[in-house]
Amino acid sequence: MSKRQGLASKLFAVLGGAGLAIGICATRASAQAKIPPPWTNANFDNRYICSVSSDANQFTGVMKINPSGTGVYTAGTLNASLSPFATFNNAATPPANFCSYALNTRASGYAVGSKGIGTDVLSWTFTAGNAACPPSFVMSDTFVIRNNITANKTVPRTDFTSNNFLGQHASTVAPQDPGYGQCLK
Amino acid sequence: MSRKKNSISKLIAALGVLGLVIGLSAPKASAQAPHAEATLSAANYTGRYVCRSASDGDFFTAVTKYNPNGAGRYTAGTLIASDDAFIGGSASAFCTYTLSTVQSLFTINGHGLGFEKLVWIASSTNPVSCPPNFIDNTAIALRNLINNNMAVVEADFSSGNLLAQGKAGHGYCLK
Repeated sequence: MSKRQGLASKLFAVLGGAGLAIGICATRASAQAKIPPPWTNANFDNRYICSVSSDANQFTGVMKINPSGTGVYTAGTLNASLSPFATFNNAATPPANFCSYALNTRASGYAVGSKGIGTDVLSWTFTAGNAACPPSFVMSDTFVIRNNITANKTVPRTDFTSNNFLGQHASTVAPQDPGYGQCLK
Repeated sequence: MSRKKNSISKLIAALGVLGLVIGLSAPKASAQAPHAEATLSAANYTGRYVCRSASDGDFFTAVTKYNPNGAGRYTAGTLIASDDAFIGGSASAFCTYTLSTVQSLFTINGHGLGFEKLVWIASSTNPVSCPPNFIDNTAIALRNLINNNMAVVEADFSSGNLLAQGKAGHGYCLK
């Protein structure tokens, strides 16, 4: 009986040690898998909402974009304030005081460099709003992605600098149009 | 002696099982984080939010506390703005407004985008330099992060008439 107990004790000890080793290693392995670089297009994936403004915050909008993780977008919507282009209408329904655009996914794309710095081209097609809204336009951005990623390997936030938001680069009112903003999961 | 050894072995085995459980469950727990775009609605915009707003090149600024009800309306709201932006404004005063819960409303579509109509009633004790009652509209975008009550933790917005100035504005609201 004593011999059997001794064997059982040794077996418990071996199993326990192995369990501890596996447990610790598995935890470390999962933690290590979360840390790029190198960064890739796959780290910018799924749904983001973005706040964007330009020309010293004279032009503002919110975007919802859906990067695919492969350098293209599957969808996108932009709603921008109409106020720089027409008088705010107190009596209108809220959407009528904004300019709405849909992302032309065929003409848009992005690329993330290995250091987590990316560029994108966003081609926006006017869909609804006041006649004074800017027509369809193409803007470009350079963005930096945060160093922390989710379990799905996607970044929770990017910050960007932009050119030509709402197509105002060539406008007579604001011939230059630098902008900035951030996108959040 | 043998009994003591046996107890130690059992202790090690128990720790081992615990280690296995921790090790194997850690990757599973993180894999449960949301990946696909959630279907959102007005019900996800509920409870108390605090917001920061600015317009006209960030010249006009305000903070807001408001309470969307998860069904397109609000139960309360207060906006306080710097009086320093207005002609005759003082170096120490603020302009206070209460949200008209009867006239204000919001919408959220399945993609988490929507609009707000916010009707703000000026406090009778405001300095004369403060704007009177005003209506602001926002285009709002909800984040994909929701808390245990299914409410989003943050929203970003673009606005059109903060403090009746008729200028584009922007800001965010946080739980």
